[in-house]
Amino acid sequence: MTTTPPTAPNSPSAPSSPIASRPRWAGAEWAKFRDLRRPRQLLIVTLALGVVTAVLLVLTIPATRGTPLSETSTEDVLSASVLGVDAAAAVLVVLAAWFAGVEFRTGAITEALLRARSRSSMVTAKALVIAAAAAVTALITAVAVTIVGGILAGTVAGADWSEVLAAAGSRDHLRLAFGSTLLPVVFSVLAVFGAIGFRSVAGGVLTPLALLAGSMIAGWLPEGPASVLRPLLPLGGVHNISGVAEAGGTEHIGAVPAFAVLVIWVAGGALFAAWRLRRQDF
Amino acid sequence: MNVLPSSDEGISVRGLTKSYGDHRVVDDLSFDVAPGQVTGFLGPNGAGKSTTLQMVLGLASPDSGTATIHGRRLPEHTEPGRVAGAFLGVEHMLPGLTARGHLNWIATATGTATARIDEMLELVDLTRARSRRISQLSLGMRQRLGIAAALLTDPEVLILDEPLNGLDPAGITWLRSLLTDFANTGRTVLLSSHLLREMELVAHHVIIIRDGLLIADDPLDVLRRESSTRVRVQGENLAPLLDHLQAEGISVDTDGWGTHATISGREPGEIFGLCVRLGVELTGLAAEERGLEDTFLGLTDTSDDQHGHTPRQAMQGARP
Repeated sequence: MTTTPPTAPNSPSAPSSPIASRPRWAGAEWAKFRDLRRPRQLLIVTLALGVVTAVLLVLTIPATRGTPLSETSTEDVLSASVLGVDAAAAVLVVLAAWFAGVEFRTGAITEALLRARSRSSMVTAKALVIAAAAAVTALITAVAVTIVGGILAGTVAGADWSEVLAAAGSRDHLRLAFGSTLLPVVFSVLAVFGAIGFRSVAGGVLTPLALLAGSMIAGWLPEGPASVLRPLLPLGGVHNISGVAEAGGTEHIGAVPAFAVLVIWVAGGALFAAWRLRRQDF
Repeated sequence: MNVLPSSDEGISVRGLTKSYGDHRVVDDLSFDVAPGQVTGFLGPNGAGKSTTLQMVLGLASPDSGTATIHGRRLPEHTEPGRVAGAFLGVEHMLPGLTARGHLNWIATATGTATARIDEMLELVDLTRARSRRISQLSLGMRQRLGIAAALLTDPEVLILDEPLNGLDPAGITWLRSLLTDFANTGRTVLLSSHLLREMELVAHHVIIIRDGLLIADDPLDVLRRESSTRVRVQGENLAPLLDHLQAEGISVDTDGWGTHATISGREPGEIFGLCVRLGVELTGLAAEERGLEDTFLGLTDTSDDQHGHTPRQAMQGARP
């Protein structure tokens, strides 16, 4: 073991600080994210699960819809394959909850808190890193499942390749793919806020799960309350942006109001997490 | 008690109180930690040391009272990382990170130059283990990594909670040298432990708490002197000896008859020589070794309460 004394300033009155730049909390969270093995493993699982789910959903169309693949439209094959992103979203939510919650479980959060001037900056930093990772992974997964769906449509379903390309590049498919990409981003960020707010990985997983369950329960309500509640929940917002919410349905409010709904959910979640983090002892 | 310089350097705790439910963990605690020395924060397990440190570091809010570092609460400083570095235990690190990754995120969060990371890894002899996951490091290695993280920003104040746990004798010697050098640059060091034996090797000044109450706040030398050898003497007429000692301000316990006395702060040889000079005839002389650890245990033993001692009285009571 070395016995070198610590580097110390020459005189206490004129310290030479190793602090060379402004604190970068988003950079710090990104450094953690990159150094940990678990995020990399889960991101690979996300992509693989998305593709496998897409293949399964397309190949089981004859069983689930009662129509042979050869008689299924290319648009339907592609939209079935995009559901693979929804499966991938589940892994991304778990990753987000784990990334934000594991520090509370281990107590490592104190290492960050004692160096932070503002606890809310840590909430924002974690949410930004997870949003970026979820967006990139979901986008790659959306592209991958679209390619898989296109290949299955062109081979197993026997569609013309030019038709497949046209369907994959159509406005409706792109909107669906964008909405599907938005789903894991929004719910992963909400998982981060849940994990921080409830100081646990479980809190992070259960928060988006509760919101999804809320959407499902709202769908069972009579039309009046359902049409009030469903569009105001995050899933309703995503469905309006992706075009899944059909005009005249209880979930439909249009893309722009839906975007505002999502912004309010994310902002509200951030405020909740920051408030909880500020008032708690560690 | 220390007196802080007017520049508000160091740590200042005033009337700090914290309860969890009905249990008062820290009770109206006041002390100062002066720069330029290593101050030990002692107390048995559950005495409230960690809770106090958490409040000093802004991790927990006190019910009442204040804890400031350089005149302000730590989170109120523009750059808290520049003001204080802390190690709160190996469990406060993400086990999945590499040793370098742990220092890297802290460096990024505090704006510390990345060159400092390798410097610190070398300082704690973890350069070869830089790519190993924290979960794969031994307890001692994790201790050293935690200390490297605390030193990373070259802070003005260093606060270490039980830093000696898991360190081998060579590691303790290394840490003692490191902390002494750090304090010698005029900066502040506060480290907690529940073992006076270990603290004795490192600290210059000790603050002892028990049940959240201040028991002692003294230079270690004073505590050591109080704990050192006491001499018991017997004789038919000890009055000349006792008068002489009391005139010199030396603490003496007598039986009231002037035939038995216990003298502190003097070696047996000195007392014997003094008796010869004063013509005091002794029928008995014996050294009574008390030891620093015994003194600490006496101070922190809750059974003292049965004698009706208040916390500060406990210290007085320990002094003959």
